[in-house]
Amino acid sequence: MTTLLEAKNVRVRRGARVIVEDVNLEFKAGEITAIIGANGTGKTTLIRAFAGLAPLELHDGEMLLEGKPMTEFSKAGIARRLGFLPAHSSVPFPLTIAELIDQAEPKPQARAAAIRAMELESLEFVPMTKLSTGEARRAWIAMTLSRETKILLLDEPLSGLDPRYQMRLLETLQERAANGSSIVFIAHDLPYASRVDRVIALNGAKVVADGTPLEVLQPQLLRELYGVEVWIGSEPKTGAVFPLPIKAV
Amino acid sequence: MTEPATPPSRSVLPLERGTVIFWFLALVIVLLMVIAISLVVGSYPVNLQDVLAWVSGRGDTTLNQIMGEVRAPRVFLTVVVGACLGLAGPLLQSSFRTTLADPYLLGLAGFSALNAVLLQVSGYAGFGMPVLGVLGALEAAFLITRFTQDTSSERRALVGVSFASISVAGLALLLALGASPSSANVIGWVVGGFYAQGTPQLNAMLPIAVPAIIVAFLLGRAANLVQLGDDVSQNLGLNARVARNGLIFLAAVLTGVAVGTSGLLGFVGLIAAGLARALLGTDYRRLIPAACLIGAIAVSLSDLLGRTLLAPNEVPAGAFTTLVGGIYLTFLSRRAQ
Repeated sequence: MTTLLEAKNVRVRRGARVIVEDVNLEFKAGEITAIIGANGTGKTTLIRAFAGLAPLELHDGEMLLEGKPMTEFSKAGIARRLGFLPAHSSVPFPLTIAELIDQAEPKPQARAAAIRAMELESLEFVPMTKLSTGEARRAWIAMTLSRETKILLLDEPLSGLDPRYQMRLLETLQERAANGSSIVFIAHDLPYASRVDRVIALNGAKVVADGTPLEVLQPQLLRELYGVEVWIGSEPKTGAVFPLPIKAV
Repeated sequence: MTEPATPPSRSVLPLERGTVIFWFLALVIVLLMVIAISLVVGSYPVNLQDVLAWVSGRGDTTLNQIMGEVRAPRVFLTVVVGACLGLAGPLLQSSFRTTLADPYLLGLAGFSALNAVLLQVSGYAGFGMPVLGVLGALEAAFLITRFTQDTSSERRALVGVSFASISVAGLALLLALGASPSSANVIGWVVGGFYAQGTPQLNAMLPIAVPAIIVAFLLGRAANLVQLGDDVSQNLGLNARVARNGLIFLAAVLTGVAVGTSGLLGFVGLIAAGLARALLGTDYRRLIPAACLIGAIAVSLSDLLGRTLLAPNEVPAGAFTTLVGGIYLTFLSRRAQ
């Protein structure tokens, strides 16, 4: 599988404070990766750095996009290859969902597919200012999906969605991965983190685990990451694991 | 059993092409009407035939003098000043990501006036007032962008509001200290207008105003992206910070050149952007030209009212724009709740 995005010895600082360090990761085509970790461990900073959004002067190490240093790409070049969904997006003007998605200038088919994926057909002409939190989130996700980029970096895409749309999104991401995209998302819902190809755990500004869900989502590690006791269930047909937090320890 | 009430539709259907053309034509016609009435009405009686005679070069000497040297330059000055202030509204609203952004509220206009007065009383007026105004507005823009890097749009707006207050306090101080050659001069800056203005002011502002207006017309797509926030706009291929600051600095140039010419005309940007949004939706490719036309209408109409309502006394145009804008702002704040 082709490596689409790679970090070599990346360290990101904010002032004197190191947010993440010693990051050596590769993201390949066809792979869905979930990043997990407690609040404030640098997940958002890491994913923003991969999206080329962390200020470059605060970077050490190298970010490679399709094998070439990200610094060699123009902003438009990065935009064509890489779609990023921030954890919190808002637009304080009454743009309709259709107008929001059109800002990404998607191809008509991709636009229609994204609207279908997030089931926004009946809300297409509703202003963003009149949407519920979950509806607005679906609109931003549809905008990101409509761009059909090979790489998708999503900061907590499942937050604010009800279970139906969480499943719709996961299924859409799985289709994208099957078509050769590389997808990385930050997940706080552990059961969803188990439904991907690979899980990366961050703790203390470093990557502390990187493997399949079965390898990473172990009670001991999750206890260290979050300070919670976790019950691990499994789905009989596939053997997939489902960690369920039970109590804080 | 009663039928459950159908919830009201939240949809706002996109404007038809015909509706967009209709509103633009309507704005152009209203502007032309205000210009025509402004040319006719005044202390020297002129009718529409006289205006046509002057336009076609068949007017007598007195008519040519009145129209060519006094009335027409003043009317065109109000149009250009209004166009500049109107344009500053949507540019600032996109970059500050709020419908409450306005060159007057954010201190660009206040700094512009303060700078113009300060340099004027220090004897540096030789640059031309529009240039001094632009320098003042650019100072405010520089300070806002410099001191509010990587902060939220709300904080940037708050810094702007404090600049507006500081500049008004500065002007009041100059007035109290009697530092101006005449105190009335300072009041003229605080409540701007076009008394005894004409060709020299028009000639001084056009070399800055025209290129700035043209550039503003080209920035619709950038403003559309900037309104989405830095992370999203950058991920859509824009150099987010450069584009956002670029819009603020262009708005500063447009504000400065207008305020340096006419003094403070409050809320023109706010009114123009708000009305343009109500008529033509949220797309900045339409909002920018529409706000330009509405700004021109608002200021030329204010000047027309100002010199006719209480004639022979003159009410400065700034009194009307600030009054209407203030009421509109109150309405906006109430709706925002």
